[in-house]
Amino acid sequence: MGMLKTFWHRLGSPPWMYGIARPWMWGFGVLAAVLIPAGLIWGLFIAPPDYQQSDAFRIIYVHVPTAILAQSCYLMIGIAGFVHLVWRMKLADVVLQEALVIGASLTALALITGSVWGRPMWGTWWEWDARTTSMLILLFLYFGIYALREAIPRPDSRARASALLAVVGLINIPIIKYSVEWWRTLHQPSTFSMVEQPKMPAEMYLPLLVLVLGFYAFMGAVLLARIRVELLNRESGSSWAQAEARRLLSS
Amino acid sequence: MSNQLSGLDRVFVELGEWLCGFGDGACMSGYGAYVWLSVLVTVVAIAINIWLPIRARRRWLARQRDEHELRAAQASGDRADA
Repeated sequence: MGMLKTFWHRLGSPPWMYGIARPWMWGFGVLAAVLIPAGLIWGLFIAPPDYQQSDAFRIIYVHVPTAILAQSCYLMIGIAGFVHLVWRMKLADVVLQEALVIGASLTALALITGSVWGRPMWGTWWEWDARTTSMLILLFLYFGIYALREAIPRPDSRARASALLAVVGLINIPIIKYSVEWWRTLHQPSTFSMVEQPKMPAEMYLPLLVLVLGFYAFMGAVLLARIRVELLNRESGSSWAQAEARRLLSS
Repeated sequence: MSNQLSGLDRVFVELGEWLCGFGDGACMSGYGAYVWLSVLVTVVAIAINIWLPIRARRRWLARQRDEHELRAAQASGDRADA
């Protein structure tokens, strides 16, 4: 408990976060560089074709990880918003800001790859289905928070307003998750469940699992890289950032 | 078959037929164009997400370099005045 409390307090220190983020960033980066190509090769060339959808099902190897990550990223943004509102932690605002672009790009990817899958399988590029519509709302939430941040010049007001919107937007996450159960939809039920055995055979879902882990590692690496740069931007005048600038310029 | 289709569907079917010329791995039972487009878009998005923080870091460093040079020039100017 004491260690957790110390860690929590240290998170408030930009130089500590800047330093500790580097090894984690490289660790996640290496993990992603191994897992994503391995999962793609496994899923695209080694996994057997689906008995109904044939090889078109292989789109799930990019669609499902991006869709899961898009929601996880928003969940993180919502939690960061909550932490900022309650504890006024500056790092939470940095996390919120830097996760926006990653989350928006993952949501757009999930929608695009879902649409590309929908054309041969559903016969349409787009369907106003509960799952696709709630994912589109998620994309608009990302854009909305970004636009709100751009519109408010005062940093503290900007941080508070975007944190509030991020927390309110969390309501969309269970809607996305349970949309396939609450409404009659074209979209198939969840591929992964925490309480049930996967409906797919192991040779199909294991590469998917590898890719989901790979995409989590990728998100971790990119987010930490973005956080490091933003900390330098925000703390440019501080002695530690100046020292870092001198070190980088002399190397 | 592709002659009966129009627009984007025709592009996808023709692209799929072209991919089938590269073998089963690229053909994907005729769905190659859909599968490979999804993979391509994902890889491009990954590359952009990696490049953005690298660019931001380079810009920050360039700004710092300019400020250091400006401060050094001002300091040498002050010494010359003195």
